[in-house]
Amino acid sequence: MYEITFNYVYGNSLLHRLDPRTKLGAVMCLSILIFREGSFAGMGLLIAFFLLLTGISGVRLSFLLRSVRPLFFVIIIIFCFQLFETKGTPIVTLPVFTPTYEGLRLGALLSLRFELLLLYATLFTASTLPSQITNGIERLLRPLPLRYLGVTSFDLATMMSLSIRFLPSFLENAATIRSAQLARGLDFRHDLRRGTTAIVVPLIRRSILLAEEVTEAMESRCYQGSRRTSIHELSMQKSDWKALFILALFIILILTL
Amino acid sequence: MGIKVENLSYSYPGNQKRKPALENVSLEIARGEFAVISGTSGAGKSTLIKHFNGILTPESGRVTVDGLDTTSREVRRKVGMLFQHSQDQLFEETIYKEIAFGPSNFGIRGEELKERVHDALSFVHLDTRILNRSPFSLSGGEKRRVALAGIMALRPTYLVLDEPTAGLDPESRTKLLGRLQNIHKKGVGIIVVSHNMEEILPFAQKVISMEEGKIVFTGSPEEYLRVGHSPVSLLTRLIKELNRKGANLREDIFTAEEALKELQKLRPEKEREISEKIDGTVMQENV
Amino acid sequence: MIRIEDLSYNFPDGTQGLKKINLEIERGEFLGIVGRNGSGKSTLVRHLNGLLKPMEGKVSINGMDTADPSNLLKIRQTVSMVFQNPYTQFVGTTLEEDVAFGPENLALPPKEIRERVDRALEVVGLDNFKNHSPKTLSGGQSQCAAIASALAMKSECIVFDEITSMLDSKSREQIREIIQKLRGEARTIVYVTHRLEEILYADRIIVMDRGEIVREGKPKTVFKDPDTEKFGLEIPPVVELLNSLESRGFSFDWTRLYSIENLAEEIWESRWKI
Repeated sequence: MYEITFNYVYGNSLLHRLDPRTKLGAVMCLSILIFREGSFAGMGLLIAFFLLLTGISGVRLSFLLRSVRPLFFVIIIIFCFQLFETKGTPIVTLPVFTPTYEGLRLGALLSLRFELLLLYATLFTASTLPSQITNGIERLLRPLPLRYLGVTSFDLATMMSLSIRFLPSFLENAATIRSAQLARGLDFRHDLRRGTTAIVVPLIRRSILLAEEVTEAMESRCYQGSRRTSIHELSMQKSDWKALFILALFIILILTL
Repeated sequence: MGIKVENLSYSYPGNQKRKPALENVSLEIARGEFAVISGTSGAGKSTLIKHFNGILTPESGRVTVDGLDTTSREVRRKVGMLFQHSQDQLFEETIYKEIAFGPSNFGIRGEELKERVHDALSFVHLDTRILNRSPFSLSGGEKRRVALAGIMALRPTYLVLDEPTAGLDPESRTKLLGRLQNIHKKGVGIIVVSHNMEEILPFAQKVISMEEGKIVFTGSPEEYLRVGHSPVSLLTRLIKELNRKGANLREDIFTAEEALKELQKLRPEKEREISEKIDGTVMQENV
Repeated sequence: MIRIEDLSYNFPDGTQGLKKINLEIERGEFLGIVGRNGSGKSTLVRHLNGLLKPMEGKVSINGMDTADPSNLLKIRQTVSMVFQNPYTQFVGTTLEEDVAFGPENLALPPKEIRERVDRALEVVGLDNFKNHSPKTLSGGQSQCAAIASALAMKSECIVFDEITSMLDSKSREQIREIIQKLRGEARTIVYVTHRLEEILYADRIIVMDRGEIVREGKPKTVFKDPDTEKFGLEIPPVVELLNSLESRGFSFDWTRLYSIENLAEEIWESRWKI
């Protein structure tokens, strides 16, 4: 019923095969670029680059667009807000809100930025397994002196992947408990406070139980939170360096534009 | 009268692109009937029963309980439902409040509420002295009994249970099934969702078997065994295996005694076979 | 390989979990442990890999004391566990990652992890499901995955704690076949269950009640014991049938009774005795 796959699409394209660290780095660079970019020409280039990557990945464009659709509403609001709230030359004069040319420009740019940011992130998650992402993050964090904070990069990575793994179970438990209390005649409209207790208390108890069982299973399989390896071998290939080189060229191109 | 499902289809929101959880399901469970719904995980059993008390509303099709539409609040009281991990649904400070939670939600107060709580508690064989204790002080098995009492206090016309025997030891399981039988004798319809058919089958009057959101079998337990949807108990499997070897034994058998009686056929049959063969040759010669 | 001496354990709330348990498990033995809920079976087996520490007495695995924290890693490499709930012991986001979790913790090189995972998945027959998420696996398949995870640890002994109690009869059958396969590999197996029919072919069975071992012996003798039902166990119809056949002069080779096919064969072969 509930599943978080981060929209992963199985494939074996060049984009799928790149090291997650390369992709993480690229997404970060591109995000900064998108935020810095103020011209429509630059935006056009970024869009073209995105389409190119999508083409390479073999992920259908419609799939990516569908994934960001839930946030479309937010983007519209941002656009309208800019359109009506920016001072400047009015397009038409209306009694309450006046759309301006400056607002149109700013709104279009902002909503484009937001949309593009989401699309790049979606493309990343569509071509990278969640575990690969955590794995990449773990490797990137490893040089940081996290142990002074009492955690290791391994702990963090395990925590991340466990959250991804067990969030659906948590939601499912919540749904079952809700059904059980509804069956006992619980009526939220009647008494919200009591209704919340009737769900939250069992949910917490159940989650603790779940956590205990998971811990037992992990301990039994020798988990210690210290150094561990991964079945997914992370190693920068030639294609990774090539990809980073192309990315660097693209960044310079945009910056000099 | 009874639970009536007509052409019910349902998909979980956000999952439209996948196969629906229920596809064109129709069934009828009479008032006072003991029915079992079987099927593997993901077959749609849990989705189906959530339609019986209106927790889910049909996407298309119709579900009625004693003629009432399931959106009616009365249906929720009529159809008591106990979910998996029922021991984890407890939340009140005392066992009394826990059991009273259901009926009080339906506006039952005062003496009647008290009577219902006491009745329900004695029904699951727990002592009234524990009523002021916290439900969390109980063992897992006792918590399950309190949860059952909480539903029984609603005095439902139908009792639906989702995998009630999962994780129980044989002793507790037998006791639970005995309790269900008692409830059934009082005229309450029992609907059990289970993938452990061999335990429930001897009690059932009707078997509904589901696969991938569709109903693939409806009928009596005896028919179910005969049709041989999936071999149920080891005993049935043993007999089927012997039949494959050439025996001709009844397959709708639940107890060792019956089985032994059936197995005894193995020997005389062999002799009969030989004598028949002799008879046959004799007859052929006569012709 | 496992030696338990005068082991006692109380739960945090003060109730007694185990009372003076003495038990020795030999290398390559198949030991069945039965008893009602709360009889102490699970508490006992959680001492075998140091999830619980003895309050009194001593548990040693190949001579290593489980109370010594420095032994823990080695002990857990020697004794693996498979638990009751198929979903909570599935810690990876895909099947392959889940099975890899143990070897990853041992910091093995990726290539060896890959080999172990592939081999383990092959044994349980899930090699075509490597990239499946836990949601797309059935309860039975998840439980097979848990067995594969234990196998990937390459441990000497595997403890199964009521692994079939949440499964349907078909999945139980699959699990039975896998366990039988494992047994052929001279591994020590400790098998906790409510279902006597799953341990017909065990080398030895112990019955537990109220934290104590109350019966011990070959399946044949334990199943015929009139007291067995007193300890909350149920003699399944098949076993009852076996018992009454034996009293009619049948003699089964109990070590072959891991599959219903073999049982049918034994009966068919000597059907003239019935």
